[in-house]
Amino acid sequence: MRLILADDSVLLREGLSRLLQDAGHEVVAAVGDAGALLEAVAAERPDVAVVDVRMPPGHRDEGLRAALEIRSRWPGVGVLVLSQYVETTYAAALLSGDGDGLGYLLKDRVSEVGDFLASLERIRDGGTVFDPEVVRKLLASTTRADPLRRLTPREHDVLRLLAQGYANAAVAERLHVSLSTVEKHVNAVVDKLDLPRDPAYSRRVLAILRYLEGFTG
Amino acid sequence: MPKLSRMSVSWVVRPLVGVLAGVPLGALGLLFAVAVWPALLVPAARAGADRALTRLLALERARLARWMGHTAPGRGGGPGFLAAMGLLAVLGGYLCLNGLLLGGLFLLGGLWELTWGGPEPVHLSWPGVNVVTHSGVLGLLAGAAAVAASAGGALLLGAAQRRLADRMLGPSGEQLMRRRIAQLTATRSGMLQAVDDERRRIERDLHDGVQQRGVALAMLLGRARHAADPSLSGELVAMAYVESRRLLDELRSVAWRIYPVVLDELGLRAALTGIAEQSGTPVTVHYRLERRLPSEAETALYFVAREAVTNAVKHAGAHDILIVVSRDEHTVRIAVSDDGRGGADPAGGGLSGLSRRVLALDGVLTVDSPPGGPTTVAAELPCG
Repeated sequence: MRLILADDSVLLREGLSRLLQDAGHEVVAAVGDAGALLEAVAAERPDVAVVDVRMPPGHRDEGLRAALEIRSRWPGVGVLVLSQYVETTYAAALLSGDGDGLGYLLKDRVSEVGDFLASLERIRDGGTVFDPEVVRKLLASTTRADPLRRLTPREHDVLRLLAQGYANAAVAERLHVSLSTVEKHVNAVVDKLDLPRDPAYSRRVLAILRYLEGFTG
Repeated sequence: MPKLSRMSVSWVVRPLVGVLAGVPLGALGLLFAVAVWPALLVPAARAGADRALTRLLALERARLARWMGHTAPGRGGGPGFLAAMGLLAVLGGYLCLNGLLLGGLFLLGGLWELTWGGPEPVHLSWPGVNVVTHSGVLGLLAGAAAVAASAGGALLLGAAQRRLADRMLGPSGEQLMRRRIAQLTATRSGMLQAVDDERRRIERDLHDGVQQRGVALAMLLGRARHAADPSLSGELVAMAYVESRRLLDELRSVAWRIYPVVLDELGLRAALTGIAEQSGTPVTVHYRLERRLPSEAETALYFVAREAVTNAVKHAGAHDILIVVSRDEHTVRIAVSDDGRGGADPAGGGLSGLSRRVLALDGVLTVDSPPGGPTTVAAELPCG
């Protein structure tokens, strides 16, 4: 796939480019700040833009704001936001739109090369990918603790993976159970939490995350 | 007079007495300024004139302290002060005195009229007012008004004299205290700001250096594990090894930047030598202290030196840097000079943080860095 990288650290840009090229992807641009990122996306329309939250000049959340702008101006471009820290506020900002082709991961995850590449593919295909750490924080801080307590430990595991953006088959693989078992758990979770029965997969992820965020959506 | 001061109306009586006492003293001061001061020019008379000046100043101070509540711990004041104060005290005091005298006469006259005099009706006829009153009452009223006006005048004059004393004798103890409190408040919040700034810097150091290298290292290892070709994976592991050494170097240098332990263990001299050794540019250290300083002073001086050296190398392109640490009876001083192209900004992040640190120790940081250079950054701290 065609990718654009935006990170102010040359070291990471280089490393990430190599990693993606090793895997047979094409890095069409690697930039160091938000302005250059927007220009590059406008010119190249990549499949996915990988964006660091913190970039010059302010080193605050320039990358995140650029990511939001990409999502509103070029809905077809997938965005993967990388961050040194997990901030549920950033997650909430990203979740304010739809979850199609969206990812938010801790930067360290790039070292789990297989997972990282799979995440990029899911984002390119319009899926949603959220860091387990974000999900863990949302689960810990959610105001909807009561319905969560009605979940069995297994259903809890399933919910955690669904919130990270895994499809049923991937959940089954990760939990070493059959697909039909997962489907049963998913139905139980959706019922117990009163989530919308939406066939669109990324919308289901979004609904779960918003539920955990305490959003009404 | 001491009796008067104990009265409940002392807040108005005290300055009044002070003002009145100021009249003869002021006259003496004026006399001194006009007649004796020129004698200071004659060597033979100088000693006597000096003594008279000291005595008069002491009397003025005593008067101000006793009656005006002004204590000037400073040693300021001279013939100029005596002349100015004399003029103010004599003129103002004279007016007050006259007002009091006039008021007293009116009061006495009014009393006399009321007790022994035949009542003499007085017709008052102003526009809108038409009253028949008594000359005795009128006298009492006029007397009271005159006394009140004198008292008010005395208060004003007292305030003016205090002002003059503030200006010419130096600030009063209370003022000094207020100034000190304001200064402490400012340096305290400055110190907190400096702490926060330093934390921000440390976070940036960790984020930009250590964490990036850590991620890069993890990425190399991840690629190595993911690589199908064993020779490629071996190469990646070798690269990861190099990266891990760099990460450790970075970590060590960040830790050093946060706080050099050598400062505690071996003191400022060793720490400054460390700066010189680590710098790529020649740094000469002249360290002229015999004993070690308190730890907070050593730390402040160390960070001043390091920031100045960093700036000189990084921004000014210096080729030669000199650090001098010296002390006299009251202050210890560090001066870092370089032959770079100058233009250092004292309000910039690093230097302003240092300035706050130095101010919190009652010191001063000065930055002299004209465009084109050379630059001297100096800090002075009070000591023992």
